[in-house]
Amino acid sequence: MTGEQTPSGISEERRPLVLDVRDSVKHFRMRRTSLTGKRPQVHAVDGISVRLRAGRTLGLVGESGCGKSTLGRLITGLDAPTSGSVLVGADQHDVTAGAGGKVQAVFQDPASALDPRMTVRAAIAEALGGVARPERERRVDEALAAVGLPPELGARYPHQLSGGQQQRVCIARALVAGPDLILLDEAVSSLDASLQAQVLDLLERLQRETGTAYVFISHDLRAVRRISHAMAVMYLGQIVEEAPAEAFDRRLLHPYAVALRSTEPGIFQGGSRIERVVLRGEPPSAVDPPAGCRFAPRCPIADDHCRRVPPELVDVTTDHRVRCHKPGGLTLTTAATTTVADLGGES
Amino acid sequence: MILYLAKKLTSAVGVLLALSALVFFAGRGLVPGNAAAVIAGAKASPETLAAIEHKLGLDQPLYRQYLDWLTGALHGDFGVSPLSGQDNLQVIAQQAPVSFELALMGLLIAVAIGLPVGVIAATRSGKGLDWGIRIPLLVVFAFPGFVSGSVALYLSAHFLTNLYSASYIPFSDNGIGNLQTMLMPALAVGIPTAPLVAQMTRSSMIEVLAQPHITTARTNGIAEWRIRYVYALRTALPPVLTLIGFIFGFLVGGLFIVEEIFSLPGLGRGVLASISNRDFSQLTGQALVIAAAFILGNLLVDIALPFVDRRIINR
Amino acid sequence: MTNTVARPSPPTSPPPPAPLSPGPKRARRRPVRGLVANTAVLLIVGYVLLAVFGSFLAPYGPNEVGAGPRLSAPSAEHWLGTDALGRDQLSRVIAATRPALLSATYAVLFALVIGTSIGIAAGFLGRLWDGILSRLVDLLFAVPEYLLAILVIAVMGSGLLNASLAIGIVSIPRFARIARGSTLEIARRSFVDAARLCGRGRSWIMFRHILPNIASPLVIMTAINLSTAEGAYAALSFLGFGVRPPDADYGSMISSSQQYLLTDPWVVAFPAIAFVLLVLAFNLLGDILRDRLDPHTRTAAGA
Repeated sequence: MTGEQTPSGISEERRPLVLDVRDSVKHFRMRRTSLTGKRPQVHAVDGISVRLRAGRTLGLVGESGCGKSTLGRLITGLDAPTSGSVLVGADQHDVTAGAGGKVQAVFQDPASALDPRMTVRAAIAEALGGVARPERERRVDEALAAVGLPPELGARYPHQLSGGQQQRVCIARALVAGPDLILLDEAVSSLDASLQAQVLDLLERLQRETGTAYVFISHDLRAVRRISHAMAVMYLGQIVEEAPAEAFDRRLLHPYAVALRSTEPGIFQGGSRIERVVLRGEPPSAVDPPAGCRFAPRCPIADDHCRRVPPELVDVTTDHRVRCHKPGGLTLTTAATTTVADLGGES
Repeated sequence: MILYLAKKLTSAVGVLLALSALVFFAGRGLVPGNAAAVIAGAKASPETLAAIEHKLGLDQPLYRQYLDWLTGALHGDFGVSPLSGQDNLQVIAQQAPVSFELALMGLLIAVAIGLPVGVIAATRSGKGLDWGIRIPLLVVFAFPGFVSGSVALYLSAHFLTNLYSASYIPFSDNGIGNLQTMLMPALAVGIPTAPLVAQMTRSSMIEVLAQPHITTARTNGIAEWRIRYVYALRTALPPVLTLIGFIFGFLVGGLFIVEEIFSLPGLGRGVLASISNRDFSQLTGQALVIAAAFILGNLLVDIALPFVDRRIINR
Repeated sequence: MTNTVARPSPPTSPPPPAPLSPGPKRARRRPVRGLVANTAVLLIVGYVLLAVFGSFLAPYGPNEVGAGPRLSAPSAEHWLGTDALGRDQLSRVIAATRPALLSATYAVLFALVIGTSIGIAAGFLGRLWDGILSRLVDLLFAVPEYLLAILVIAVMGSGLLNASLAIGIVSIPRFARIARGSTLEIARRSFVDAARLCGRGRSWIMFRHILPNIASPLVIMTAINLSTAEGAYAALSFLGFGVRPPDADYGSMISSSQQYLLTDPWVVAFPAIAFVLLVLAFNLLGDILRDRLDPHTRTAAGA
């Protein structure tokens, strides 16, 4: 963990903004299921705003299906938002207009992220479109060295590499053109524990050297928390809590974030024993989200008000926001007294 | 279910409409020497030509001609051939039953041979007998319909003379005679198609036989023949049915050749005659009827499939 | 992929255990496959050589009327006998290899190029293009192939090129469908997204990423289609839509001599055998390539 997580301060203000997501919405139309009915819509991302400064990492966590990967595709410009906008880079241009290699990504499955019929060098050089050949070769060599791969690996094809090597190639490709922002979409989830640690170390070192910002999407709290400066928790297409890393460890306010956090007791720095909050049931369908708070059907402390009125995302401090009618109603310490039996009646 | 049928029906109608336009414009628009020129003869003056064109409606804009023709066709009026003076619908009505009978008999023969052969090849997959079946199949498949057709014709003409007739005998005149004389042509259509059926059955069966429920059936001690011919075949057939469009297409190809060889007055031979006469009025009608029958056949399979395999609807 | 056709696998290397096809079964099948594959390739090479150098090898001119007595049986002067006009059958069978190979090649190349382009565009360029192109392909597919081919010839006239083109047009849907399906599958992989993020345009992605990755199903389709195109061309030629009359063509040779089938069988038999062997060789090649390259039937990973 880096020691410079001051939530406010001069050094933070001086860092340029490299990502500004403004009220982005992404709906998908599904296939028609009857002759007369309306085509159902999936509300994958429903009004999300986040900002990120150079050299910083935003961790994005949530269950599968909560819309975090869709948000990742909006951030990289691979999909256009239904409404809202995504501005990237030091000049804050719209990402859908073409980021020109300034936004890169590292994906979950390195085997699928590398073309099986392209050599490692060709894959990395793909990010160096308009660069003349000698310069290109030099930068590919540098990138290989930066991710700790021997130069002779450059002539190989992806299937001749191990999973860890493949992911390093992906990182080299993302990095070689000097991007402002790299999206890490479950970037270490397919690697085993010791490799995960190595790759996370590598990513942290590269960030210190280059000042690139990361958006790290994962369902694996432990990995995300390790390299993030701020954390955002998503539930059914919305951000329910956004907090600086240290607040994430100690002062979480949203019941869902608390429940999620309680699944990883090891990263709690205080040392006291906490108990797991067990959530019952599946998240409701994103096709037809609940009318009130989207988490209410599964929330241990929800009341009628929660079920009727959707809460807004409000500022708690300057960089800590929460979307809950009863923020702090369920905390890690009280979680210790909330038994599974208590929750049973709620679901 | 209704949605599925509606989709299939709309696409069939759409295809037929698009096809009618295509055939119509290709026939009227691109061909050197339209009907008027053929009727008037090479030495006709431009005035006579114009007069004939006007009489046939050929001086109208093409889309107008097409709309007129389409309205007629929808009322069952395919027009009168300006060349032969025959009513096109009447000609087609005489030719269609011949081709239909030939195709149906051919299909029956192809399935009767191809299905069992495919099943046997599948159960022996990878063994010597599999190749022992596959190679002869490939040979028959490679054997062109026109060669087997010629062979069939001359065999019947010289050895099986009671199966031979120099001219077509309509079913209404002499039912037995009709079936007898149609047997050899139907074999000539069906036999080259059989390997196609066999190959499809074989690959579908192999896939099914490798599935866990077959292994379960085996461990439960169900007799091997029952597994193969009852359990596996029932699962293997729907995929074969979905490919039946290929078989229909192959059959239509056979019709052209076999009708030509056996001098049967069917649609295939009719199309060839219309082409050599440059009679595009008749050709349009004939081609559309063949295509419509083909599309209808595929549509019937599409409609029947969900009853055999309910998963199809959700695809 | 270049040498997978004829290379018999060494019997010493045991195949990796695959859940669906146990090892011993596989091993027993290999010698047969190797033999069949070698024969098929040998045959095709032979035909190509005949088509290229045939005019030097043929003992007579293929259109030379009265090179011998009419309808003579095979003899030392005329190995395959003579036809009704006294033309040397061997020379004609040799001469017919050229239109046979050319028609199949033209037709398949045309369908391969157009069909693959349509398929990739439909699979990659998004819904609108997919809608338009897929409808078009469905339309082509909804017409019986021979009917469509004959209609194309009716409009354009007969001859080697036109007949090949007609067959090519008819074969487009097969290539388009397989290319579209494979493209949809490849386009889902994240290396395509990565290329987009690298600022690469659609044409770069289509040529550098998609085309190389969908090559093997297309190769299989090409081999299979060579045989069907060959059969279709012979059928069209039989109906009189192939090369112009004096020139030799399997289909027209058979149709013009079928009346002598019983009295002088060789006039039909030799062109028929030559033709059947060629189609068979293409067919076997397709079968072998499918066994080798198709991931559904392949057990050993071959790159």
